Amino acid sequence: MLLELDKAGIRFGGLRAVQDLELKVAQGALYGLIGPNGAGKTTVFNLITGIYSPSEGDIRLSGASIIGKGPVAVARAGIARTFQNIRLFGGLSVLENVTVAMFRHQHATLLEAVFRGPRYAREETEATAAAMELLATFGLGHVAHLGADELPYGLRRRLEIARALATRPRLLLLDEPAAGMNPSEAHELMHLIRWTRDTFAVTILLIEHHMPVVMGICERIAVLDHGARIAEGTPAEIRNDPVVIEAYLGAEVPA
Amino acid sequence: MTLFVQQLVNGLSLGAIYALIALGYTMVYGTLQMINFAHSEVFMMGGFFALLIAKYSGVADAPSVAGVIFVAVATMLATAALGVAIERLAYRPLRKSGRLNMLITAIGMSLLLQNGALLVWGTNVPFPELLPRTTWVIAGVSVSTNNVLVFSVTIVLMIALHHVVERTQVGRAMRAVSASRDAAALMGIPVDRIIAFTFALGSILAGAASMLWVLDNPRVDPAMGIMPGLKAFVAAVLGGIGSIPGAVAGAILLGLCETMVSGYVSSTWRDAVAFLLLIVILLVRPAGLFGKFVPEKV
Repeated sequence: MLLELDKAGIRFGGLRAVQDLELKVAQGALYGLIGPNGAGKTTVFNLITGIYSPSEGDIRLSGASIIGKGPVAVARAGIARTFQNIRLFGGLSVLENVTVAMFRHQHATLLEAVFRGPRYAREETEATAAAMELLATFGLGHVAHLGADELPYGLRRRLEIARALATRPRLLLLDEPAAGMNPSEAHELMHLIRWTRDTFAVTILLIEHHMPVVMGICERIAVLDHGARIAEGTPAEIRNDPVVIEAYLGAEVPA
Repeated sequence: MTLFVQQLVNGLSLGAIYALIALGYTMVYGTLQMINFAHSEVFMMGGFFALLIAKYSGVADAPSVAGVIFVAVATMLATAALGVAIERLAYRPLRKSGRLNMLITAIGMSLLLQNGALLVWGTNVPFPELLPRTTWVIAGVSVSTNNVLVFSVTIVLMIALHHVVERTQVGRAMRAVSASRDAAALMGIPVDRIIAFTFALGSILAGAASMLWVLDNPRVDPAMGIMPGLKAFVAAVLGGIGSIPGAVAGAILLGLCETMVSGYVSSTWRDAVAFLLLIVILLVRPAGLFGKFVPEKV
């Protein structure tokens, strides 16, 4: 298992935002995490990425606990993410947003950078080339030199995924990547996500509200409600699970 | 006309010193959204460091250009270490507990350094003359070696700063941390190190400012940081706090205003005008000259 949540939970005061959560994401999986608003999905991401420390249970990456590591160390262990409310580096260009995410793979010192030493020059050339390739892949090649905050919404979402991939993660967490997109854009994005998983050999865990698309691309799905896992299985199993239909889809919306 | 040009020369060199200090305020604000009130004391301590280094290295006894450069570089390294130590000991442990707590701590740190310096070194300590002072009179306008020195050193440091911030991988990470600290951490950028680096950069510039200051005003005093620090803070706010070009523009503007007021009105009015300028600009442009006004989301 690449990622394992073992009875993980967190409480904020009296509120148990997430409780007894079991989640096993296999290497190379495309795994979906769904649930109604306020079910605690983003909290799970915040637990995995070290923003919150779980009050109980354990979280393991490739068998090693990542509890108490903090966001920087977790990112360095190979977990990257995007955000529900996009958080790009405004004031940096589109290209810089991607190259800065490669910071941990660059080893030149500041002195080498200031005086343009050979190692710095090589690392920068490599980073720029890799970033341009990533941007081209995500259809952002033509806007590489624009400011990140000048991009339209859809492209910002793509840039966030490209930036996360630039850290060379083992596990990529996508928080509602298709939020605010129309069905055809969402569909296109989902293809891009599957293609990303295959091309970059990265494991993907995603939160999504667009039910049809999640069902379409995820191989396994966990359903969260009131901070607890109520179902887990293949899309077909989830679609027919009466507990899920009741809790998540409500009575009047058929799956 | 002569008076105008004379005050222009004086204003530019005063503004240059303010700019060096203001950059420290604005860069720290950019990354931590916090006013580092102890920054004026980093400038003050730079004066004492320069004095001690000049004295114990023997440069004070046998001044030379190489000696002065040595004292300047050593002073800048010492203030950098002080700035990093202040961040590490006083601000980092409080980073999660809110900006107000950090602000109070900054004020406390400022008082600690002022009174510490007073206790150890006392007031009004004379600074040895390290560079012979020459003044040229060109068409009635006097320009001193110090004016030239202040101006050229500031320009070189600005270019170096721009190079570091805009054209190195560390500068890029610095800008990323200042745009979104959380996102930067989640991309594996070592936020703590980058913040420490920001303090180091700002403190190096403050060290340079104190070196230039004591060459021109040969006394060091625990209270010497208060006024220049306050003016530099005003300059950073004028330019739009968080903005590097803004801090420089605000500092030059403030320096010119001060010297023009002392030249044409009266030197007793110069400080009043500096703060009046702050009030007026903030009324007209709340985010400062180069700042972006971002309305609070509700």
